[in-house]
Order: sequence, then structure tokens, then C-alpha cells
Amino acid sequence: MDLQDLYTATFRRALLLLGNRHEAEDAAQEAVTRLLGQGKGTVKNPGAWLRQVVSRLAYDALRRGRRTADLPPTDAQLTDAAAHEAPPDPAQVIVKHEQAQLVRAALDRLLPRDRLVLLLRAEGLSYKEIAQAAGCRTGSVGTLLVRAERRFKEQYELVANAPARR
Amino acid sequence: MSWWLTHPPDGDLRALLDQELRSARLQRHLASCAACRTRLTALAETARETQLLLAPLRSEVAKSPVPTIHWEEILPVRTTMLRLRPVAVGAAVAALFTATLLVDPMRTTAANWLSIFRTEKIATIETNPQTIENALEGLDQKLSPELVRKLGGVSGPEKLPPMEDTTPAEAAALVSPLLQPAVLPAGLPAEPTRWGARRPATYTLRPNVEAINDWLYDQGVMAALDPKLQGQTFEVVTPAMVARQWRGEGRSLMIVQATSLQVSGTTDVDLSAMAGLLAQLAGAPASVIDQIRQTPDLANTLPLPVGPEVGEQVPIGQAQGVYYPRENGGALVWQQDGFTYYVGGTLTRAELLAVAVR
Repeated sequence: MDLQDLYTATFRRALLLLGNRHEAEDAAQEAVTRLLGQGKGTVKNPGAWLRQVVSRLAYDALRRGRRTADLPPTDAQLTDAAAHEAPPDPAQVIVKHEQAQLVRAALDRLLPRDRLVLLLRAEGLSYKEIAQAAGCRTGSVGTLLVRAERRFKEQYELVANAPARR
Repeated sequence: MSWWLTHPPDGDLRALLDQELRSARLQRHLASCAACRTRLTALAETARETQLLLAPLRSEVAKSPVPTIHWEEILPVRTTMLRLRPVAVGAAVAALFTATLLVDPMRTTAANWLSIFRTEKIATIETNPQTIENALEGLDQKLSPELVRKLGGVSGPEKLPPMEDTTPAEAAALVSPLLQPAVLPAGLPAEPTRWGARRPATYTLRPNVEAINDWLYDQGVMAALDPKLQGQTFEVVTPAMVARQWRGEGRSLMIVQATSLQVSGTTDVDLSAMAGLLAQLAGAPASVIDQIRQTPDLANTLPLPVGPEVGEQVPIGQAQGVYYPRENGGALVWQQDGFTYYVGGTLTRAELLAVAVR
């Protein structure tokens, strides 16, 4: 995996966690800069290292307080998304995007740690990796996850049933 | 035996579902407990629903266009950027409470309350960075900005002024006299290669003692603030800070020097009790709370964490400091003559001590 591939994965991880392209770009760039600042051969697994660092940076950014939510997708993005969908039905793509927006709105209502734990687990990270990113004990991850899922579900139901949502 | 002593907590069941926990005892319990099997099924269902709900978002992000990165811009930044991270690390370990204020004074009422500490001495507290991180986070999660307003309020800049590049003259105007390295390690230039400074900021605190005590009671904290604080206003000026960096021949030295917090307002209160209360609120372990309570003259003392895996107490001239070893180097933190000092870098312990001891 070359540096550009690592950056791509790092940016997307940050975007998932933060939901804001500018912040994701900042976090991914900072993580890659830090990687480059490590001595040659110091980092045995750059992919895992970046995953950990960008998760931590995103968590810090969430705790500092976030800017406004991201812009709606461009036509190009929708077209791009449509190109990957099967069947390539633009209406379905838009519905999916709407669902993603609802999820984003529900995530925005969660505490930073709940959000982090939930999304990192969804990405398949181990409890140990999640604990490192969230700065907690591995043994606490299960409890945090249960709480985060419960709160997420509550918030999702609230935003999905809100009469006048964006 | 009460219910929670006989049945496994949800977190253990969730870990079992994720195959992160292997426990024969838990399995035996599940085999014989229908109620817990039902709980396990419910947790599995919630986990499945969550995955389904998150799927569209994850799929959208996976296809999201990636901004172009200009590598040629990143690489020079790497070599010239003032590495302030050690400052943040040093500050984090430097003080359980004052660090909160240094990092972001708006984030907790606790930090603002604790700003009444005038720290001139060091007390060591046996704990580890994770405990501190958890405690700060505990406070962070409990004290939202809305709640802080309800509990009395704080006015001042939303964020502390950032650490910025500066000139030697501006630095000397902010913090004086600056510590001069007693012995500059070999390979480093005679003058700093970079100067940074953080300007002070002023905050005004007006505690609503009754509201705070009601809230503490709701949180299950068996302690309360002194009613004498009701109606008082405190003005807090955050420390000015100057950072100097020397780099040469692959080695680096950073000296950070910060003034003390300036606080105006009468504070005839039991600081040990207040600090213990806040540590309790943050969820700090009982051993840490006890150590804080037992620290004599807490008003003039900075609690520094030490322990086998954290730091080592060392004399620095007439002062008592703590040495924190790190990968490829280390850092010293101590207080003297109204200043907090941090001396760190990719240097040996002996070299750092030689820099620090006047």
C-alpha cells in the first residue's frame, strides 16, 4: 500500500468519524504528517498506526466541539455513488443518501465517545484498538458500546420521526 | 446476593457477542439463566439494527472523493514545524487539575474552581496518565457548557489564545526572567531555533453554590461546596507561556516556562475538600482522592502524577521535580519562583538535568 492509498483510507476513516470534509482533511493530513515524522522503520504497520492516530485526532476534534455539518453531496458525488450502486437507480441513491443524513444527524447528538466507539466497532476494530482510541480500558468497551448503541437508537428514532427535518 | 452480583453486566454480554470475551463461567451462567439469554438476544438485536442503520453512511463515506494531498507541502512542514506536542504532553502530566485549565478553560466548571490553586510546590500522586485522562473525561462528559452556565457561569474567551510563533523580545515581555540552560547539550545551536508564546486570558467566575450543591447531590457526590463561596466573583488570569526550541544534529531541546495562574477574590475555603470533591465527581479512584486530601498546603501545591510507569521524583536544584522518560528522550517538570518549567527533548536524563539545574 503506497502513501496515497494510506492517505485515502485515513481520510475516509476521519470523514466517517467527523462527518465534515474539512475537519477530516485536517485530521488525515496531521496523521500522515506525524507518520512521516517517525523515524524510518519505527512504525511496523503504517496502516494500523494511522488508523489509531486518526481515530484519536478525530476524537480530540469531536471533544473540542465541531463546526457545522457537511455540505450536501454534489451532483458528481451522487453520480459517482450511483455508478457504484446496483441497480443504478438515482432515486434509490438519493433515498440512501437521505438515510445516511439521518444517521449523521443522530450521530451528531451523541457524546463524542459514544460516537467514536460506535463507528469504530462498525468498522470492525477490535476492543483493544477502540480502547486505545477512546482512552479507556479494554474491559470497558463492551459497556460503552451497549450504552452508545442504545443512545444512538433513541436519537435515530427522534430524528427520523421529527416532523420537519431538513 | 443482589441481582448485579449474580448476573453478568451488559458490557460482558456485549463482549461475548463480539467474541472479545471468553469466559466459561459466563457460558455456564447463560446455560442456566433464561433472563440473561433474553438479554443477550436483545443486545444482539440492537447490535444488528445499529449495523444496518450505519450501513448507508459507511457506504457513502467509502465512495466519497478524497481531496488531493500536496506532499511537497507536508514534507517541509514536518521539518520546520514547532513541535508543541511535547508541551501538551508535559502539561497533561504536569497537573491533574491545572492542566484542565491550560487545555481549555471553558470545558469544566471544575477547572475553573480549581484555578484558585496557587501552585508553588509539587506533591506527587501515585497514579497513571490513563487515570488522569479518564478523570478529565469524566468531568468533561458530566459538565456540558449549558450546565456550566446553570451552575453560575464563566465569562471570558471561548478558547485559550493559541501557542504562536514569537520573537525573543515579545517572549521576554511575557515571561521574565527566562530560564537559561545551564549546560547546552552538544550538537545544539547556542540560540533557540524557534520561539513560541501563549498569551494570558482573563476569565470571570460567579458560582451559584446552591445550584452546584443540588447538582452534586443528584450526581451522588457526598460532599458540597462551601456556602461562603456564594455571591463571590473570581477573576482568573491564565498563565503566560513561552516555549523555546533548539534543534541540531538530529537532537532537540524544548524549554517551556509558564507563569502562575493569577486569581483575585477571597477564597477562605477548604481546598483539600474541594479538590477531593471534584476528583470524586470525575470518578477518580479512591486512592487518588485520598492522596489529594492528604496533601498539605494544597493551595500552593501542584499535584503531579508519579508511579513506576509514569515518572520519577528528582531534585532540581532547590526544587523537587518529576522526570518523565519517553521514547528517545524524556522531560522534567518542576515549579520554582512562581514559574512552572518543562525541559524535554531527545536527550538523556543527565543532559536534561544539566540543562535544568542552575
